[in-house]
Amino acid sequence: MSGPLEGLRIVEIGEGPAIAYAGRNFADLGADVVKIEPPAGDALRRWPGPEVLGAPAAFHALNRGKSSMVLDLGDDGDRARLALLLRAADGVIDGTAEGVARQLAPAADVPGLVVGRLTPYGDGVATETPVHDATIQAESGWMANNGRPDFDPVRSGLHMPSQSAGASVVHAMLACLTAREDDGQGEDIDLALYDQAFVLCYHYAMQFMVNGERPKRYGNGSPAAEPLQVFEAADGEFQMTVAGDRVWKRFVENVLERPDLLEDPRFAVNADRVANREALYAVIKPIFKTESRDHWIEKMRAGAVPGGPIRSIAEAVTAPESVERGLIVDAEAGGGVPAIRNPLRFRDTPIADPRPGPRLDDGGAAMSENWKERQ
Amino acid sequence: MTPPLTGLKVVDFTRVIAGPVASLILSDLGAEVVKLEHPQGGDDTRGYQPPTYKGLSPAFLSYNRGKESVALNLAEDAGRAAARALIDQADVVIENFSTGVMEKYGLDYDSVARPELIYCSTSAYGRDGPFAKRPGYDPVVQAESGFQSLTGHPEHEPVRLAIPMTDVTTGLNGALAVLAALWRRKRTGRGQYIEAPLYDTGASNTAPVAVPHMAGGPAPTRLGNADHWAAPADSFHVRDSALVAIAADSHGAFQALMTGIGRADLAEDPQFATADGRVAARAKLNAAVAEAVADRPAAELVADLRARGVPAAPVREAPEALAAEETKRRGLTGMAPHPTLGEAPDLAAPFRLKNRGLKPAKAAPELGQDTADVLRRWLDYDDAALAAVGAGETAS
Repeated sequence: MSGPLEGLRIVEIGEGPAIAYAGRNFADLGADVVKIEPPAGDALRRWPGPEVLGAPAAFHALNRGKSSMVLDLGDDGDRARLALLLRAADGVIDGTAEGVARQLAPAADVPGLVVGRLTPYGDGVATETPVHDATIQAESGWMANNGRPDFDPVRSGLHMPSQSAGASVVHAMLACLTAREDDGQGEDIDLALYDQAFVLCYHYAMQFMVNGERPKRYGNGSPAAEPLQVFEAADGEFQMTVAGDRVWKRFVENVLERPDLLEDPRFAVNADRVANREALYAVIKPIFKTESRDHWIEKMRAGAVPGGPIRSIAEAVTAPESVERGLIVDAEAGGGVPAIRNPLRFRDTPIADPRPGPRLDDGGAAMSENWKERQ
Repeated sequence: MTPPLTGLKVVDFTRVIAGPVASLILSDLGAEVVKLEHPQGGDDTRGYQPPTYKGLSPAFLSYNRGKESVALNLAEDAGRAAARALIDQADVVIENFSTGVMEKYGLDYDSVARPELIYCSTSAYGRDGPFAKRPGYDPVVQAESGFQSLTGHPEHEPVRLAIPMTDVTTGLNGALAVLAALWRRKRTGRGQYIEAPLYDTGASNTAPVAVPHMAGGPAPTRLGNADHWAAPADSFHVRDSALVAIAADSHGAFQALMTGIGRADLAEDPQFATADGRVAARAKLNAAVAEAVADRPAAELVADLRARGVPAAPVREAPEALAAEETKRRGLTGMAPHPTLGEAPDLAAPFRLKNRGLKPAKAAPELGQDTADVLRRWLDYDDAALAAVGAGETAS
């Protein structure tokens, strides 16, 4: 058993991290994934950074466990090969502007195929507009939620809208693939990267819909809870989250050891602490500076107050939590490529150790033959 | 149209954001999601205010559309018994309590397991191991997973993403786990216990930069609005202090951008023919773009670059984003029916299904509004049984 989706047959067509993430979600959970690449290879093969097994390490991170098949979608013979492959597949992720999957496998001919269209602005919308995760973060308003109040908005360094879209399209596809088991009917799913980024604004967008006020940025703080911030200890920074009055009580009693603060009307309930943020910080910040980061983190953990160190990536990949949870996979265990393990756990159908991304045009043909035999 | 998860029964013990995002996805796709809440106050996000829409918090509205609210006190025998009976009728259970809470109530997987039941814990640091009992919050996991270290201007401290993205991605992962287990169950008839931990999700999110580092690359850090994989890429101040994001994410886009801003000399330089070469010169290339676009009107610049095949977009805040054509043409905001207020603001689901459709819009529920209805429909509770769980006076 290699995961809950063992036996599911997925074709991935299209460029960019959102498409790659979508295919990776299927592959991580045990599905067969054939990644269709142009003769020059997927654009991620030209990303910067150290190479492992002939591809950038980042390519492996987004394409692990897939098979590769090179097809020139401008060539009639290759289009015919893809048409046959789509007839043997259960689902297809299609990120092409023209929607090649339905061109080659029309619903009238292949009614059971589940097509997940993942495009910048929606199926057939503004297809000529070039986009990047950073420009989608910018124009959707998502990026503007982040950063200091007195400085430019700051984007996510990771391509989070793309990653999220790569999950959402799989949600819809899996729901339809499950329903199809009963009625045999496929589906046409339409997911726009822009829409994903916009709805990822969640309560920040909703707040503006409610009160019409331009949202503020709070840096590492929060408009909704205090004290919730990055604080400085004597020797480094840490994050502390006191969200709610029960945690506040634990914080002043067990961490600060200042139970007298419970009697201070400026800090009585969360709304008071939000309103009196500066006064609150004037009390607690000097206390934090008197002890080490480890001291405060131990106190917070013992006192059931959420908090943790600000770690670099180099620190995080060797952190006890990462190692103990088995998330860090070295090159030997990862088939030649290091990896961070998929976070999901399935008790009865455990997912396999990460495998490398495919070499160009490797494995896809064999996998597609196997699919046709199983049809 | 019949949404794909129609008829699926989900009992949802989750609170705050990570778990509710997972059950929100199941609800959008047609599942009946019964959200169990404590009768006093309910989900913490109901208290995330001001502002409110006629008393409803924006956070609660955002993460709970389409769900049904059943108020049960799990500390009381009658409330616990009702929760257990609901689980016995359910296809899927989702919970994100601290480790040990569901055991305390006798509602953990091993206590309620049936072969066909799917039971998902969106835990903090996993349900086993030395960190199982540590409480988890998005800002903390953003910090300690390394996720936060990748966002922020280099001259400032690392900045947390305001949208709680480790919570949100944990919810996305939890829904993936449930849906994958549902597909498996359809093939085999068997459900299972699944987990989508918050910390593991945060660490996994960093893979595109962490894996290159693990493969021998330099230690990654925050780049402001520049990009780890593309250069030039940044946000640039243009005329009237407007901010425009530009990202040249291929050699072709790089050449088009440089030619478009009058720097054909850089466009043809062979050292910039590869992404490694461009990223190594990130500061120089971003500076060249910044100088060239400083006096360009934002709209004209974006249109010009897009016509050249270069990704470019204005940096919008909420008022501009909500008014934007991209948002309006897809109907991403609107109003949804609400049982007592008539209607309430609503956001769209990210996906649309041409044939099966999604669950019709319904605003997030009032606390306990569905207690009597659900307990009658699912469990045949009579008035006396409803009164025992405190639902007698609200029974309709």
